Amino acid sequence: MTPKRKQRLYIVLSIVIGAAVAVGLVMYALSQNINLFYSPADIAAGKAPVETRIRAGGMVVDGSVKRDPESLRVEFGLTDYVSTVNVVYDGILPDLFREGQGIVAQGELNEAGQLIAVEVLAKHDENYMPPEVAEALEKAGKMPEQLRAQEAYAE
Amino acid sequence: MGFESFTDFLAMGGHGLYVWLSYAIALVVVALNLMAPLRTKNRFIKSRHDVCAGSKAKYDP
Amino acid sequence: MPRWFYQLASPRWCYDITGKLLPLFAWAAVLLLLGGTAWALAFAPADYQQGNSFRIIYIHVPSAILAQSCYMLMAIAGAVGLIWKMKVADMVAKCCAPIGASIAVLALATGAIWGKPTWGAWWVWDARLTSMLILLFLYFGVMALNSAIENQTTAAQSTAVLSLVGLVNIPIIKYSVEWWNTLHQPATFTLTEKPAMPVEMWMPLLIMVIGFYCFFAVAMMLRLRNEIVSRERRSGWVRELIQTQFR
Repeated sequence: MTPKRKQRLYIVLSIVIGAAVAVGLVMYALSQNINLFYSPADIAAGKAPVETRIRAGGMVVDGSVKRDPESLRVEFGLTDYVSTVNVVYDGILPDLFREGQGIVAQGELNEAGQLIAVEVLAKHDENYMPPEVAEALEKAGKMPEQLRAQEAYAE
Repeated sequence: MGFESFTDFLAMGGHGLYVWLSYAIALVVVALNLMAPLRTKNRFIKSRHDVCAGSKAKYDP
Repeated sequence: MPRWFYQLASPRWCYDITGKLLPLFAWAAVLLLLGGTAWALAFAPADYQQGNSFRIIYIHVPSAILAQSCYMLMAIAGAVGLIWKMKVADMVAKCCAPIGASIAVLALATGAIWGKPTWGAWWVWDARLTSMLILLFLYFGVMALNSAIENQTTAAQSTAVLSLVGLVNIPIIKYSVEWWNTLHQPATFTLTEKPAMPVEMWMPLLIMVIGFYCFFAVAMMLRLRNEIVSRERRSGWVRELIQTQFR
């Protein structure tokens, strides 16, 4: 490479590195704000503000879903296998909502530490599979979320 | 084939609108990306031929 | 530097070679995309949770991968143009922007359409979705800058710098799902690991990804050839071409 080209190569590299460092610093400063949601452990540790619109994400605790027979009101536990937060929601749940499913609930924490949700979104993972495979795995207790729960409780 | 009938295939288990809309948008994007350069090419050829015709007209009356 | 690198610098050589490659890639794209779509829509199994809305993955994932690859090509071509003053590299970078923007729109639109039945929302401001939207805006910025500057060399240099600065967004898109809490699920395809889905699901996806790349090659070459003949219109070989082939 000629010296002139080498010099231009260094300019190009410094543009890329400079931009990366600048953006990296900004993201480091904002890292908490970029997270879409708080985990139940964050909420239990008091990191989430009370009576402000926040999002909480985790797994719906097995056997915790209590539906009000007269309205759409539903109550369930949300866990990250460290802490659990109680969520109260009055509205239509997404199709994917079920026990053991990952969800993100948006709402406000009240003084009792309950999340009064105004929106519940379902989160899914990258473990796509046909229904028959899922059934077989479920029977064997080898579904990804079952394995995750086992791992978390073993720790 | 995972579907019982053609109607089932169109319905996509109730998600037909979402699935077909996605594939339709994909088709539109692909078509636009092929048509746009072909149109540019035709326009370019036409303008060049006009230039050639213009210069000919000037030189042999 | 190898010989082909210098050959690439010749617009005429590029015009000839793309003329030979175009039908090859066009046929590959047609076969892969038609076969992949049929497999994806009719023969691939539905997902146990999402049912048939899962089939949107066969458009969404290839377009999202391609939108990012196209950006990387645009930035690399821009850098080559800056360092070696290679005209063809500038042309490639210029042609990338509109194609990449349309593919990014496709990725975002199919993502929104997929998000509604699965997550319960068209759009969420999580890190993955937001960084993908920024990618689209970067494409728009590059296109706007390119058309705003009259002088071709200056336009190529400025857009190359802008695309190089925006390159930092690519690892952010890729790792956003790992670095932060997002609603978006982790990557479906990685180069190092076997996909989590069974083969009858990822095979059509792989075919669609390759098909999308072939389609990109076709769209790219069509635009590049236009760009070459339009910039070289005063040279002898293009004049000859117009009189002999373009009738």
